[in-house]
Amino acid sequence: MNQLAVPSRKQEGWKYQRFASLQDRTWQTPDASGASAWQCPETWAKVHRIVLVDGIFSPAHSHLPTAGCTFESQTGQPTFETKTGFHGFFPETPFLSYRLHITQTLTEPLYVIHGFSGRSGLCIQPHIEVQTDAKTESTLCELLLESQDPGTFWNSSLQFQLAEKSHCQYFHIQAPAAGALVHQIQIQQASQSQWQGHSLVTGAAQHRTQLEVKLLGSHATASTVGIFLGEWKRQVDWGSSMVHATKDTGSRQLVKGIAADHAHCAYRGMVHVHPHASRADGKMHNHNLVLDPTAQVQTLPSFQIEHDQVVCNHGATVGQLREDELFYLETRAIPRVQAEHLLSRAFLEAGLAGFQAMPPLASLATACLEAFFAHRWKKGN
Amino acid sequence: MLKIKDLHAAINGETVLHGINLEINEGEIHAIMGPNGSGKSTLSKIIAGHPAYKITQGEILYDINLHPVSLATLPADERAREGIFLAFQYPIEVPGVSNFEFLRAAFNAVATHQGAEELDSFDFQQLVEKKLKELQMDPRFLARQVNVDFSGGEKKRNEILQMAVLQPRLALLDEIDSGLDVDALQQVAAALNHVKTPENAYLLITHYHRILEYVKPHHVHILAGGRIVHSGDHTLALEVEKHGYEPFLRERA
Repeated sequence: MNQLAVPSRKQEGWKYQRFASLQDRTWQTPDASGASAWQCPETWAKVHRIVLVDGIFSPAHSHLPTAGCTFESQTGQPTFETKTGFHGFFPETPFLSYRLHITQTLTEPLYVIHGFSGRSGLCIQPHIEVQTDAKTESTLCELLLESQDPGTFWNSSLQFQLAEKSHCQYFHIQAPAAGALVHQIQIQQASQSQWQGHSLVTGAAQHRTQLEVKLLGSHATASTVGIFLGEWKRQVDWGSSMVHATKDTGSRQLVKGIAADHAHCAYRGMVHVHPHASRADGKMHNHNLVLDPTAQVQTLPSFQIEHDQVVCNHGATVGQLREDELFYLETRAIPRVQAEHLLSRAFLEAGLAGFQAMPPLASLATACLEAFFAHRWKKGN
Repeated sequence: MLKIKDLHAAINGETVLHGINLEINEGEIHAIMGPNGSGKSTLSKIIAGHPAYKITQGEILYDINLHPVSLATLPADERAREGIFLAFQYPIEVPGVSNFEFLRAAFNAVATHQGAEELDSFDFQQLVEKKLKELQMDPRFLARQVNVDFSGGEKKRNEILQMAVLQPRLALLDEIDSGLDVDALQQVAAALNHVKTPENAYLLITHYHRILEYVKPHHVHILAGGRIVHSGDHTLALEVEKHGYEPFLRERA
């Protein structure tokens, strides 16, 4: 198991997911021919975009800005310092490594779109390093919109290196995946840099989204506002940790989750304040709704604080929709499933608000929510 | 329109209604008065379909397509689509849902049930702005979250706005006058009279005579101990105002 870099139950602090079955599989290696089987959806045809089909960069589908950034393949095994989750790639299947270097402020958002050829049994392992130069501003939107084949393992990572005073916004939307999906997002921030993340994930048959932020320079700040939606028998495993490694750093985590049907969802949040990180300011909130008695949500916020002069707080809740609110809506002729939809959407409002500044993403987030409730609507009628 | 026969009902195993008989016809306004804990609000919730209350005996028949149908078979949202509306004594706050979105969802649920087309946002905006104007209400109501940070009077008027949009056949008005000052009471009463038509009916639950000065009932009933102990015309409310409930309770005993 260790050889395959799959964490064992013993290694992980949080023993929620079981990826052991992945080691018994024989994986196919993706190749560039997959690109011919993929078509760019019209919504994204005019945006600046980097398209990876089966994890392989497709120049034909991509449209990079003429200035402000470079994108290239690179060699060498990526390294991860994390102690939780996957800490490497399946070694027998090639990883696909790229580097995006943002040298100037990007006036338009840059999209990273993951497409799939539909080939079965692939182990897709793209790795993208994003480096921003000092004082640049950029918006990166990562989209995983297609439900790949159930036999696919998508094991991806994104590593940000934010230089001093750079500001990066990151939007991430993941449509439901039928296979196994592991997505690591790691951010290292120099002084006075800002990173703002907005995520909407909808889980997979086996799933993990792991976000790790290291605030290495003073006055660096990071925030993540996330939504997860779990339904059917899907799993959602959300981990986010903010490491305050130096003084005067700030972090915010707000993650809202909804579990329905037989979904299993977990939130693992961490704020770690190092011994020299005086005046660290870390806030972590996770709130969850459970719509069916067969669904599960577990929440585990935790702190590791090694300095006295800090301001840290957290809140975590798991609850149901209020019956009095549901009854009120029902007395206004609104069917129960639609009432659930309205109230759930209201519950997620703080998470959805971040997408409103990006109309195509706001529509996409709404579509994900509609799809989530479409099944319940059908069942309810 | 509505016929309640020997209605007994319970919540958490405790019987709270002990044999109610009541008939409401279209166009009528019925007022129900009674001391605290007599079962007035319970009656309105049971007619509206609150799932916590169980009918243990008797039945509630409601005309649907000219045929009496037992309401026991219909959940609350279906009753509402068939024209039953409950105005809450304490309207529920729904954070995060705008009044506009809420009203449109409710209107379209009724419209599609009646075989009409759903209205898109633009068309519904026109409809609801007309209703607001008729009720002399501030259009900014629409952008606010349902009942959140509303004053007592605003909440009650918001209930009537919902009535005006949904145009129910039977409105159950549970203490629509509670917590209102004189001016707000007059505004609410004026709005109720505006929404009243010869086809719809009101069941108005109240503690006080004052709203009945503005919204004239055809029938007044006194409910006590889960039973209607006395019925009469609108003058009965005046008697209650003068003498309280005691004479009627003694009479019943």
